[in-house]
Amino acid sequence: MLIQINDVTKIYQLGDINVRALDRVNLIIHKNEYVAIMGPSGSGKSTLMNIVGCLDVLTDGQYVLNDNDVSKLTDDQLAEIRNKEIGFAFQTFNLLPRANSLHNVELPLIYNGTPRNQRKELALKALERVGLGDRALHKPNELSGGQRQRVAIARALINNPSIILADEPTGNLDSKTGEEIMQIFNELNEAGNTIILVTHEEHIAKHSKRVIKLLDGKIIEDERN
Amino acid sequence: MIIRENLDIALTQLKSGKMRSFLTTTGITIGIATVIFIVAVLEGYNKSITDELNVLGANVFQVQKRDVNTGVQVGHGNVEKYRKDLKRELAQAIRQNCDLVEAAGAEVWIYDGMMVYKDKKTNPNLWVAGGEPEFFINNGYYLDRGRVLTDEDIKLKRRVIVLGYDAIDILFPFEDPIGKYIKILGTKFQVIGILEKMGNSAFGQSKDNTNCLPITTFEELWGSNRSVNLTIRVKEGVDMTAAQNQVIGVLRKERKVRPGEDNDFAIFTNDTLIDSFNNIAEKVQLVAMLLGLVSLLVGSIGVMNIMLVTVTERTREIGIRKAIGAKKNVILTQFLSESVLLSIAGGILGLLFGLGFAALAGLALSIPFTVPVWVVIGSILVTSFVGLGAGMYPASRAARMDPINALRYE
Repeated sequence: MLIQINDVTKIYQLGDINVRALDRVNLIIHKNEYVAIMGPSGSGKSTLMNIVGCLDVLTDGQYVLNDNDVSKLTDDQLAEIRNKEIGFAFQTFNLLPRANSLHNVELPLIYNGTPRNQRKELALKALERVGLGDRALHKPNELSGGQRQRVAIARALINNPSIILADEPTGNLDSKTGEEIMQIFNELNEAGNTIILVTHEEHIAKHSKRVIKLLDGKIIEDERN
Repeated sequence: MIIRENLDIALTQLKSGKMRSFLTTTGITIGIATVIFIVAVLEGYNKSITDELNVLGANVFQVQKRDVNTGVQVGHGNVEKYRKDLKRELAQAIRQNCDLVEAAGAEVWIYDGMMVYKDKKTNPNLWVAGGEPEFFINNGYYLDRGRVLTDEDIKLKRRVIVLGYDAIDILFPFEDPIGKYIKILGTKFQVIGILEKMGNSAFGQSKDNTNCLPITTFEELWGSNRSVNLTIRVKEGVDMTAAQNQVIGVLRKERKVRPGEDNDFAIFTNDTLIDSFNNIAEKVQLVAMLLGLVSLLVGSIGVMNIMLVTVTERTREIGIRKAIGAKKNVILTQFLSESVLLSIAGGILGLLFGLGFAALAGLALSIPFTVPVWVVIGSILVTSFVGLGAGMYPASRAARMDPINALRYE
């Protein structure tokens, strides 16, 4: 078992009212699964993604990632887990605007102390893997949207994470480019990577092998394609 | 590892906003420039002062009623006020009783003696001394033309005067002054000699503004109610202290100072003059340091302000870095490196400005240009601390940011 979520509840304080974003959610995800998390806005899918991605801590329950209980870790411990176990691909790409592709991709390696010369080599390999070996020295504003997302995926891959978490990865792309990006995720999954997609688009979710639907903080559907 | 990366980031950041970085560090630049300038100039003076203050000559010392007033001896001055004046006759007593002394002369000064020749007059900014023949050699003045004062001039209270070049320039631009008559405070004097031109001292003051007439004439015309200064030249090869002790003995006897009482007069050598200069220099330095400190404080507020802006502007970047694994300390050091680097850059700029102006001032004042190493190292150290202090709050704000909110920041 890669991810084990037991009775997880997340409550946000919004002014005077408590918002129950996740309500006693249980979920198990195995290695090499390809999961899409769906739901309308406010359903709790972003919260679930943040918790799975170790960006946020849960209010109640237990989250075991790779046999480690990560429910109650400090900020720095979570940062370390994110660095080692999780690769992110965001809707808005979230690349450093002033850094070139190579530097953006090697960033996670800087934070785990990989020596400089090794970093460049690994980053270049990751860029080649997403078909951008010739764009290593371009900055984000010199790249198309699809190319930017590829850089982000290369960055997500670089530490060989347990999970690749993609939050609406095609949301800012036209449908053709979106399909190309989804193709990369499909290939990564075939190569053995675990992929969790957050999306509200059915045709994107179709690429996955399992669809989890959320509503009002609860899982209402869990189907395998 | 991380340190090097952070320095890279900081450097890129500073370069990408050169104008902003420059403006931010103005306070620091001015602060450091002020301190460096003052310290370098004072240091230059200090180097040249040993020569410049050797007005008395190495083997000459001076006796005055009062100690050099540096403004520190509060309360002391009152005692000095009630001291008896030094009289001209003391010089004679020293000449007679001190075998270690080569020459001793008495002198008195006025500063408001306007000199008039035909339609030309000096501003009352020249010194007129009443002196004895020893005046010239003991004070380091040499004759250019004519003659200096003689014992005869003193004895007969002759109305003659030896002029310095400042007076010559004003009164006799086209004439030979020797033998001509000038008027001081209504009395006619014949010009008998001209002193060699000496130029300006390290303080920018003319050394040619001295003029000398017989002390007896001086006292006859303007009264003998002034305390005289005694200049005393020690014989070749004689120990200065021994000669001073001999003179002190004679003066105490003449002035009837009882055993056990303090001297009621003060002895000056070049060393004491240099000491009193250093005393003043130290105070100037202190004031400069204070000014510099205020500027640095203002500068540090500027740095803190711009760092707060930077942290806000780069919220998203902070979110990205945190999401992919940057720990708090990494973010903290990233922004600290930036503020330290910014401050040091301002410090180096200030160092260059300060040194540049000091070099110019050195040329203008003809003093040597010297920079103590401690000042250079010190200013870099101080600016680093300023950067650390100013960056701490903004950097810790960045470090504490929540990655989710930071990522969502528009």
